[in-house]
Amino acid sequence: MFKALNIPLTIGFFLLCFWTIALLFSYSRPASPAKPAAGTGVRWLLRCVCLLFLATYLYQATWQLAGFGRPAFMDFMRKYSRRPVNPAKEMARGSILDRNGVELAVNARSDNLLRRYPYGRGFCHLIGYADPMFGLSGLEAADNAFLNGSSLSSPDELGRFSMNILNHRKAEGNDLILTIDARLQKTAAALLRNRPGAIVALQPQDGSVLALVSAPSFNPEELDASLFSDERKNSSPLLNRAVQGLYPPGSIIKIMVAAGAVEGGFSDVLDCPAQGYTPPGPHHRPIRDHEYYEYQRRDETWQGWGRIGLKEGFARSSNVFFAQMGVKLGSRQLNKAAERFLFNKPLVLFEGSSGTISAKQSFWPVVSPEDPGSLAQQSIGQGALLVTPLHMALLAAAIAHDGELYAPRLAMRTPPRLLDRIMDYGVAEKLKQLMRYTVEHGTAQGANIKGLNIAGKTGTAQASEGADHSWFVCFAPLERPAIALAVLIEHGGYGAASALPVAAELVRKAKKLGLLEPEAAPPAETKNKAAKKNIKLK
Amino acid sequence: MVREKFTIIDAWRFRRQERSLFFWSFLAILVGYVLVVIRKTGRIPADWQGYLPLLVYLGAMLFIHLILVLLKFRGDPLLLAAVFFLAGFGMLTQFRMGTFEIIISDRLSNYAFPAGLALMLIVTVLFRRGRFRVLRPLAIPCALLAAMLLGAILFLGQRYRGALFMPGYINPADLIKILLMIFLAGYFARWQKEGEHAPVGVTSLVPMLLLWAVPMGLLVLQRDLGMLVLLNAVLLVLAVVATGRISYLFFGVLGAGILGGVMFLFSAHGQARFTTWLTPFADPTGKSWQILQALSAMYSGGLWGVGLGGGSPQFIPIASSDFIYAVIGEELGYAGCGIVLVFYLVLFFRGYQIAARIAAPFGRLLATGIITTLAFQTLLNIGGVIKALPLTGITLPFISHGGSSLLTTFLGVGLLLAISERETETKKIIERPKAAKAKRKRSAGG
Repeated sequence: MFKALNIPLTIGFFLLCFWTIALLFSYSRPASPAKPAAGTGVRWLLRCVCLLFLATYLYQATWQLAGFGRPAFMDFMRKYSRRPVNPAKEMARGSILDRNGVELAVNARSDNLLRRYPYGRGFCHLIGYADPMFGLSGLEAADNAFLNGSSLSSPDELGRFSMNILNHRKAEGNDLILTIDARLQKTAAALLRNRPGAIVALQPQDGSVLALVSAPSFNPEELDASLFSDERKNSSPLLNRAVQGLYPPGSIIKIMVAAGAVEGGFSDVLDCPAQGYTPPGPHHRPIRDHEYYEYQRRDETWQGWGRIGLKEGFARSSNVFFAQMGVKLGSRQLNKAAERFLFNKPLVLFEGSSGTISAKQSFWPVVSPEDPGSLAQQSIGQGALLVTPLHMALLAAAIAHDGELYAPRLAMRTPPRLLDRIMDYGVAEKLKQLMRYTVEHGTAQGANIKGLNIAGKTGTAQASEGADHSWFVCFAPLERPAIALAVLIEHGGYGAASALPVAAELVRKAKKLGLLEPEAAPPAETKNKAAKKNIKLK
Repeated sequence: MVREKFTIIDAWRFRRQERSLFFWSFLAILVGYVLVVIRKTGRIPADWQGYLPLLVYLGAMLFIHLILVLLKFRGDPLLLAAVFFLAGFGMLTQFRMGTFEIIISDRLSNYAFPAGLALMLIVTVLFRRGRFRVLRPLAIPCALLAAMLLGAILFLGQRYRGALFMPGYINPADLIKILLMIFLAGYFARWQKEGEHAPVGVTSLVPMLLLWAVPMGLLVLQRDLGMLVLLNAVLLVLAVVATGRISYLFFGVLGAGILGGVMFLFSAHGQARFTTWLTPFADPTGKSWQILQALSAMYSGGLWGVGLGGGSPQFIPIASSDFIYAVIGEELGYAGCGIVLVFYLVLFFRGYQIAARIAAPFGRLLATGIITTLAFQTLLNIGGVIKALPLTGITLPFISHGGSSLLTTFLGVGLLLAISERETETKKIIERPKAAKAKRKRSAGG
């Protein structure tokens, strides 16, 4: 019966305390003056003590009121707090959803598992894990505060945070909605078949990431210590190859070199003999096309391409042509192009409330004019040149979007951001034609599928050991690009052999899912048209 | 200037604020007491024995108030009011923890609360009206006494929970805080003239530091690192306040950093506490169990707490002494912790004001030393509980369970009260109560 008194008595206790404090303050107002000189030190001391107490009290709030922002602490409480009131058990971390609201990460209601990942392996690098034992990684780590409801960067989040502070026994996090399409991502992961490699799919009109897959993968619900130990170092399942993997680009760099050539008004026809091309200067070995070696293996003699222009050189992916053209264009032109194409620059994939996920910097060694050897090598994507798959996908997206490069965008709450116009409309249009021609008549004929209208470029990059890395970079459909792709398969051989079929299959899937329809992103589309008109007027 | 006689009636009026604040504090404590009793027994006790701790509190406070009025005491009434509240709150918390049961008790420390209040009154009465200055020549004997006390504990004491105790779990080491403050104040005051900073150079500090090193060395041997940190921090503050040289703070912190680093290398005890502080989740069920349970309790409490007596302090090891702040956090919430902190700050504010108003160096330094010790002690304890600092094993003044710590706190506050009356002796200041009285009349009329 007396239990009913608890609440009124508690309120009474607080009110009486507050009243006493108010009285105390009203009494202490008339302060007698202190001795000025001698009192200074003491008054400073008082100020310092007050500040220290204030800081302590504020820090206390980060545990007592905003403790829901500390995942390890919540986990401890869930497991080891046997108090009748246990807010940690009630708190709900936000889910991670794809663009259609499909749940990718949700709370698990069990003691030894924090989160359930319905799609498991295919999303493990992108979403990461939140594990009671192994901590956080991926998006779970980068957007931890947002997911826990303790971030403050928007009015909505502020409101959620205040509600959590006031009613922290049922703290709730914010749901993170991604631009990813779970169906496409799942298909992409399946297509890689756990071969080491990476796939990045973007929407050119605003940089939205549709899929970002890396393989080999791991199961985020069943982490164990061996995953982190050295024995699996060679396959590195924890590494997100799409953003952290640096690879020689091979022939796909010819897209950038061709852009430089078109810009520089290059229209020469070059002789591309079978014996190859040796850059001027001592100690250089001839650069040859792979057809030469293929004929040699069959004990036949290859005649070479003869005299060809940029269109044929690009479509045949002729190393001899591009090495010569690179040297002719000169180091200044190519260094400038590399700088504009985001080489040697930081590239941020996602800026979250608790951290950022950024790609490794793609590396273009700046070539000096006296070094035609390196210039020739880098023009065909070899040498010390290194790129990430995300970067190459962005490159394709920029061409697809008439030269406008949008920053990659992973969360729906991040507004699209135009990074830069990296080439003129005319140059982009020319490159589009080159890439389409490559699919119709060149090395990428495997992607010439009716109704898809893919434009792309294959790449075969010599690895430091083992078979070549297989690349394919493309966008589709040609008239109104809605998807840009970069596919990399480590040691996959020719680009046309292993990366290209994966990309083509993925574009087919995207079309089936309706991602290539014009209404996929109407506002960006209209803006795009307006931009086109402006350029045409000029 | 006519010297007006300060009668008992005047004293009764002068201490009006103290009385009214005590009245409201008592009401708050009473309500809290009833809450705890209801949670404990499910009923409101009808007989007077059920209210014994509360009656002891009421009686002691009324007694102190009346004695001070009768003695025409003119020390700071607001300081005493803050002490009244904190003492009542401490009593309430200890009663809630079940460590304050006067009737059925044979443990010495349970009498610490009434004994402490009595000690405070005795010290105030003994040293009031500037008589605290008799302590000034005792500076060096005080340091020697502190060293002897520590030596005695080292040889006679037993180890319990990482600290040394004399038989009966009394730890007289706390008393050295007051002894060493008297020593420091007396030593610095030697060079200081009224209203000026002491021109103390580094060389003249050497004998003091040598003497200071003896008790500090004994503390190291006892592994009482919390006390060591506390006392040396106060030493630095006093050196700066006495000399007005900020450089002492800089070199002091530098020296303390080096010495602390060296000691840290040899002290496994200190290292363990430090790593627990830095990485609490490395060993959650072992070394960090206590601190994490304390933080869990506070998080469960939230803003307003689960109600007095409604929490579960049994899950926090040693909740009633070192971790009492976590219990307050759980049961009264963040708001309740704020209330306690406000009363502490009022106490420190008044204490520093007392210090700033005294011209004589010894009184000012002694008051500064005592208040700074209390303030740092509070900070170290609370900072440890909320994981802002490594755990130091230092108690929360007035509230933590612990006999000698409570006695020392009351002793220090008693001295402070005595010092606060010092100024009313001189002719100049006799005018102030009169002016204040006139002001009060004016405000009462309006």
